[in-house]
Amino acid sequence: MMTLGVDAGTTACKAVLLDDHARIVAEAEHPHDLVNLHPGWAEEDPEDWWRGAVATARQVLAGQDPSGVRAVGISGMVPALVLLDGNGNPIRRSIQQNDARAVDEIRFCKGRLPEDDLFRRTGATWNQQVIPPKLQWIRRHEPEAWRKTHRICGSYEHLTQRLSGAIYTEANWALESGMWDALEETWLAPVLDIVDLPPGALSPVRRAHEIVGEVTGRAAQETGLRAGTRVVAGSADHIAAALAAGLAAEGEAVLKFGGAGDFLYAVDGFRPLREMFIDYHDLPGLFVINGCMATSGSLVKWFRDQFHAGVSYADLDLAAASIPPGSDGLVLLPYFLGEKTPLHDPEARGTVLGLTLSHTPAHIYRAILEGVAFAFRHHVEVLEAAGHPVARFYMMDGGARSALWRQITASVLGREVCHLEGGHAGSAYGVAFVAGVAAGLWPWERVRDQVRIAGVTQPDAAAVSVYAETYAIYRETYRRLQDLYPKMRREHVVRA
Amino acid sequence: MAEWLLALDVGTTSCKAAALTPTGQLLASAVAGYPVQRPMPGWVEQNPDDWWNAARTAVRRVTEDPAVRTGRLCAVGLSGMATTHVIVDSAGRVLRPAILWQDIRAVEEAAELAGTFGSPAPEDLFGASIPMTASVQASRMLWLAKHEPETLSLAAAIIGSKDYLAYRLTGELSTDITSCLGLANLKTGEIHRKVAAATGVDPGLFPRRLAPREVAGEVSRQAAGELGLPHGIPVASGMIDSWCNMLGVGLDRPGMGWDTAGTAEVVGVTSARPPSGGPPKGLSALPFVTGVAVVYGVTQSGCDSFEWFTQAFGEAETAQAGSRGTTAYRLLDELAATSPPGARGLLFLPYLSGERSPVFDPHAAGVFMGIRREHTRADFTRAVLEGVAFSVRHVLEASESITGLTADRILVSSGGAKSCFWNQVKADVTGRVFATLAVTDAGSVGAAMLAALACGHMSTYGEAVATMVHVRETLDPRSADHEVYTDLFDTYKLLHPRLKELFPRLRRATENVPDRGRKEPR
Repeated sequence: MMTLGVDAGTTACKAVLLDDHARIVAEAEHPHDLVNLHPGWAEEDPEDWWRGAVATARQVLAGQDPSGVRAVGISGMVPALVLLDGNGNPIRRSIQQNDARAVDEIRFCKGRLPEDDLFRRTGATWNQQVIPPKLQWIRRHEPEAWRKTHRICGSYEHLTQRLSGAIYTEANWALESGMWDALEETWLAPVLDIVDLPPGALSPVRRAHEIVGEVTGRAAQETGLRAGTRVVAGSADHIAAALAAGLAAEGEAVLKFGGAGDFLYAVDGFRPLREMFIDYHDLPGLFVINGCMATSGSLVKWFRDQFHAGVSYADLDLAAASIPPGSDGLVLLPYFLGEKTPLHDPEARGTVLGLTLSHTPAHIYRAILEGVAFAFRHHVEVLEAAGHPVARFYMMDGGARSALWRQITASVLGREVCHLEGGHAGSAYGVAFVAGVAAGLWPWERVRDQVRIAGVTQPDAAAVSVYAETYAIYRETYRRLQDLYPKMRREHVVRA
Repeated sequence: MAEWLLALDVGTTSCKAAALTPTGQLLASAVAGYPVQRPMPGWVEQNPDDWWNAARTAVRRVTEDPAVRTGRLCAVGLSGMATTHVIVDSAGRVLRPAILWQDIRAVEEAAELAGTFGSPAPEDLFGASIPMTASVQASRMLWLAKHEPETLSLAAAIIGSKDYLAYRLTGELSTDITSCLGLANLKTGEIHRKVAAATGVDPGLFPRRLAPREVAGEVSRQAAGELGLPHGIPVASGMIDSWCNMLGVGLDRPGMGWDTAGTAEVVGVTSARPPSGGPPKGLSALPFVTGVAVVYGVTQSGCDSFEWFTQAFGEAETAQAGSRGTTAYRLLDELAATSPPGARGLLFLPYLSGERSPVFDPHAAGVFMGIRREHTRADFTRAVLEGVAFSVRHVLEASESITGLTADRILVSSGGAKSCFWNQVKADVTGRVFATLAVTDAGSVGAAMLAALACGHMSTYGEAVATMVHVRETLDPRSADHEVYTDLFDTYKLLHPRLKELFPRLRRATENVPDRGRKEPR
C-alpha cells in the first residue's frame, strides 16, 4: 500500500511515493519556468504544472502496481490565482502569490475596506499576496478575461480538479486570499463586493485531508494512476513542508534555512499577527503562524559565487568560526531581495555596517550567518510580543548542516536549538502523508517518524550578550535607513 | 654631467626614492615596501628601521638607473607620513614601534585634551585652528605618558617619520614645524607651556625645528656608504607628505583645487588667506606659502579603501597581474568599468578607519548599502571607487563652502591618480575637470623642490613651480553621469548622520569578546 504526493513548486514539480510505513519509495522532479513578463510580475502556466505532475507521477510509478496507491494529494504555492472558464479551463496564466503588479489596486481596496476590518475578520492585510487587488487588476486591464471568468481557484485545486473533476477550494487558499472570514468560516461579503465577485465564482472550502474525488479515467491514462484512486484536497506547500518537518505541537517553531528562510510556528487557535501570515495546519486543530524571509541560504551561495568561487562551505565556515561573535563589529541586514516577513518591505536592501581595514571576507561571511539568524530572531520577537512563547526550536534544511550556523542561531536566539535530519523531501512528502492519513494508512502522530533530532545546540553565554546588542543595532539600522532604500535604484534614468 | 635631485618619502606601505632633474622631469624612481602592524584594534604601527632599510634599497635602485648613474646629485629632499611619531633614546635607538597617522589609540586622550583646550584648539595654542584628534601629537604624548611612562623615561627625542630618515642620513636630530602638528605653534615654532603641562611631556624631547627648505645636515660618510651616494650632500629638512604634495602640485595662487589621492586623500582648495574664525570641525585652514592659504580636508581611507578591497576581494586579479604585465588595481579598474555608473544602486561609505573630513568622526566605519542579490563583484569594486569619489566631493564642497571659491579644475596626484578610470569617476562625481600631472607622485616633485631650494638652485617657490610642475592630461566631467552621481550623493550624505550613533555602539558591543579566536564546534 502506497500514497502519492505531488508538489507544484515555483521552479519544478516534485513527486514522492510512500510505502505503508510512510517511507519514501521513489522521488522524481521535473523543472518548469516562472514567467516574468515585466519586473515585479510573476506568472506561471498551469499547463506546465500539469505536465510536471504527470511526468513525475509516471516516473515514481514506473515498475509499481498502481492499484497499490491508496490515495493521492497535491500541494502548491498559495494563494495563486487561476481564472477558469465555464468548462474549467484556465483563461490565462496563473498570477502567483509573489506577483507585485497590483500596487494601485491595493490602494483601491484599502480605500473600500479599512485594513483593520480586513485583518480582524480574515487575518490578512492589504498586501501583494491577497487576491482581491489582483482581481481588480484583471477587471481594469484585462476586461475580456474577466468577462469569461466563471470560477477562480488556486494552484493545487486546479490540478486536483484536472485529476479528479473535484470542484472545491482548499482552506488555506481561502484563508490567504483575504476573502475568508475565519471566525464565521464563510466568504466575507464586503470583500467580494469590492471587486463585484459573484459568490458562484468561489467553491466550497475543504480541509487538506478531506477526500474530494477520485482519479478520472482520462487522468488515469495520463498519469499511470488507477482510475478511482482517492484524491485529497491537498495542501499549501509551506504547510505540507511544516508537516514534513514534524511541526506537530502548539508552541513549536521550525526554522528552515533553505534558499529562502521560513519560520513556522504551531498555535492552537486562529490568532493572526499583522507582521506574519497564518494558515490552517494540515493537522486538524492547529494553525500555523508563518513567515518567509526572502533570503537565507541563498546569501551564503551568493557570497561564495561572487567572492570565493570553488571554496567549500565547510572551509568558509572554518574561517568564520575563528572570528568572534559580533564579527569584530559588523552587522549585516540580509534584505538582498527586499524583505517579506516581518517587514513587508520589498524595497529594503542589504546593508553591511561597521567595516574597517581589519575586516576580511571571513568576517563578512560570518556577518551573513549572523544577519540571517537576526532575521529569524525578529520573527521570534514579533511572535512572543504577541503572547506566543516558543517552547522549542527546530532548525532544518541546508543551513542546519552547518555547526557554526547552528551555534550562531542558538546564541542569537538565546535558546536551545534542535536540528533535524530528514524532512528534506518537503512539501511532496507532507501532502503524501496527508493522503495516507485520509486513506487510513497511518495516524497523524506518525508524522514525527521520518524526522530525527540529530543534535541539540546550547547558546553560548558570552555570545548571547554580544548578540543582544548587535541585534538591537541590526533593528535600529533598518529603522534609520528604511526611507533611503527606495532611492537605491537599479537603473538610473540618464536624462540627455 | 646632468644634475639631479633625490626625493625620499616615508609612506604608509613603502619608502619611495625618486630622482628628478631641476626642471621637474622624473629620471627614475623606486619603492621598497614594509609591513604595517595592527596589534590591537585601532593600533597602527611600523618599525622605523624598516623605513631605513627600504630607503637603502630604493635609493640603490634609483642610482643604478642609467639616467641617474652618470649624473651629479645636488641635494636631497625629504617627506613623510604626518602625525607619525618615532621615539629614540640618546644613542639614537628606536624605543618602540612608530605610531602611525592612522592609529586611533589616543581617542580618550584626545577627548580629554579637547575638554581642556576645546576642539579645534584655539589659534594661540597651535598657530592655527587644529582639531584635537587621536592622531595629533599632543594626544599621542598624553597616551604615552599614561600608558608607557617607561618609554618616555628613556626617550631623548620624539621626531616625525621623515626626521628619522634625516637622522639616519646625517646623524643629526631635527624636525620641522609641520611634523609637530598639534603640539608646536605653527607660527612661532614653540610649544605652548600649557600644552606641555597637559601632556606631561618634557619639551626638551623635541629637537630643533627647521624650516622645510633648511638644511638638516649633510649626508654622512656612513650613510653615503650604505646608500651608494656621495657624502657631504645637503639634506633639506622637508615636510609632511600632504604638504610636500601641495608644493609639488604647484599651489601658488587662490582658487586652485587639488586631490592628493594617497592612502588617505587630501582634498582642498586654495584661498588668499585662511578664513577668519577657523574652519569648521574636520577641515584644516592653514597659511601655506606667501599669499596662499590652503583649506582642505582628509578622507582617511582613499586609496586605502581600494587597497583593502583588493586584498580582501581581488585575489584573482592579484594572481593574474604579473602574467598580464599590469597591477591588480588596473585589472580591478577593468572589472569596475563593466558595472554602470551608480554600481546598479550600491553605495559604499569609505570610513574604514574612521573619517576626518568633513564629518570628523574617529568612530565612523565603512558601510555597503543597497545590496541586491544580483550585485556582483564588479558592482562592489565600482562602488568602492565611487564611494571614495563621493568622499572627495564631500570634502571638496565643504572646503569650497568656507572659502567661497569654486575650483573648476582639480589637480589630482599620488597613487590613485594612476587610475584613469578612477580619475574619470571623480570628474563625473564632482562635475569638475580633473587634471593629472607629468609626475604622478607630486610629493616627489615637492621634496625635489625643497632640495632645489636648499642647495640654491632656485630662490623662490614661484620659480620652483614655474620650472618643475607640468600638467599632463585633463579629463572633462560627463554631465549625464554627473546627474546619476548627484542623485546618489544626496543619499550618501545622509548615511553618516543616520548611522553615526550606531558605530561606537557596535564597536563597544564587540570589542573584547571573551572567546576571540576560539574555534566553534563543527
